[in-house]
Amino acid sequence: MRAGLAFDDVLAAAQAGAAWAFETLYRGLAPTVIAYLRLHGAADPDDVASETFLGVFTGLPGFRGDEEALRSWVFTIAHRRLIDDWRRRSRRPRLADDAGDLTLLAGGDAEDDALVRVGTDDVHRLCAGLPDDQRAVLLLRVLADLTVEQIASVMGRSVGSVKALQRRGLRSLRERIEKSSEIVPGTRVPLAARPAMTGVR
Amino acid sequence: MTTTADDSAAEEAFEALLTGRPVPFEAAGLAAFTEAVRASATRPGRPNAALAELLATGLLTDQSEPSTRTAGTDGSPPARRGARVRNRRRFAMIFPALLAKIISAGAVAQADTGAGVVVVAVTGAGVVGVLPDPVQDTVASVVETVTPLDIEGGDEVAGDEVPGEDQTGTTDPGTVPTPVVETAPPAEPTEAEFSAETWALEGPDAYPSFGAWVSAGTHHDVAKALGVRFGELVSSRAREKGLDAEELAAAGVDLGELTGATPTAAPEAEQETTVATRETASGERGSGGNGNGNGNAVAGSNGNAGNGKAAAGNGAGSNGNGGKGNGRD
Repeated sequence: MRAGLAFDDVLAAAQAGAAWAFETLYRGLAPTVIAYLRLHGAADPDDVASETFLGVFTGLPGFRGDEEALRSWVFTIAHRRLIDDWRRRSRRPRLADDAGDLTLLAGGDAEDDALVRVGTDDVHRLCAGLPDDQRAVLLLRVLADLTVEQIASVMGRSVGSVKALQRRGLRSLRERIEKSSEIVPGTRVPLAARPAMTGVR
Repeated sequence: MTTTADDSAAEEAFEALLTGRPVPFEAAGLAAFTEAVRASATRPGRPNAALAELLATGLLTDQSEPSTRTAGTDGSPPARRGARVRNRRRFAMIFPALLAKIISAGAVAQADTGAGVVVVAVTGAGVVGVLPDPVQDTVASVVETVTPLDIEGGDEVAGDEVPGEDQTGTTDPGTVPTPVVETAPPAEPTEAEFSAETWALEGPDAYPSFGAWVSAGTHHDVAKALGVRFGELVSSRAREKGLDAEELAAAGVDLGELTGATPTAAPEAEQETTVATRETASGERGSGGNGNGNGNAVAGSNGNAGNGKAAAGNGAGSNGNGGKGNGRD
């Protein structure tokens, strides 16, 4: 959210149709939505995201909730648009042949935080190797900061089902990483470049 | 071989990653994956045409193009008339949109915008040379100081080399500053009571019928509140909805009467100037009087119900309140 503006003010203005509020919400949410769609293999992530936000903005007058609820609602619409995109294309998202060239760069000692870096292409390959539902659960947790309960609502599944999907997704992910990774010591990633490791978002 | 313990450890590490807690070295690969996924969410993306328009204009769309029902056929009007119709409809949409933007802006931005409109209005009047001499001289001096224009009444004698389009350019509506939302938080955009802006923005679709919409606008005197020609605004909306004279009459709307009853506005070319001048002139025009009468009488008593009557004011509004009659045994 833009500095100095309370979420409630932005939401109220957006519900009244103010362009600046639309832009504020779009700038705040679009990067994660587009990343979610891209890592799911959407053919045109920008276009699907645009359709998502058109649906969000036109439906905003009926929305009630806080910022967290809005984010969950936005990803609900994004997930549905993604499924529509899959159906239009009548095929699963792009899958990598293998992750054999996956390279993990690590360094430091065991007492420090894990110092590993994964390239963008590697992330795409790892995500493409996961089943759709498992990938959706992991990405919604990492990108959208949604809880298991919120993801259950987004995907229209039970909480237990989402927990099972997360467990299987993590297992599959770990196996692929362990099988194909090549640890290269000596490359240390600065702490400032690792917000996910430090909790700074 | 993956065991249940491994799954639990991976889940714990995953939860730790999501909450920013440190993770064991065994989860380095998972941590790297999480970090890379988050790092991929930095590109703002390119909105498509529909979303870009929505981000630029909000939900206040400019329906400047005539609908197919009103487009000319064999007996189509001349092109000039078509342009005038489009101008009126554009004004009918742009003016409420401008008002909404001002309303949704902060107090500082509103002051800036108001000052900008007044400056444009005064500058335009100064260029035309219709201001009183002292004011004309001052305006001319200021404008000539900050612009290359020569204006009648300034220190220098106006030359013929000043192109006319440059003078008219000073009244370009595009020079009206837009609200600067980055410098001030927006005011509350909604009102619980009747709002003329809301009435104009939502249009007849927000009312049970077209007649009800017109009636509400008449009752609350939105023509005065918005500074627009009420009859033309209603006519524009009627054209958008494809209502002809008979249907309007059936809805209880006499377009001719509405057009004739509303105050005359300035020419369309000076719409923005009119906005500012109406603000100052509104206090000189009298508003219609309001009459209220209340009467209470207990059964068996001789109380008289009060009657209130008010005449339409011209120059000053008049209000009449009926007396209240109360009687007891």
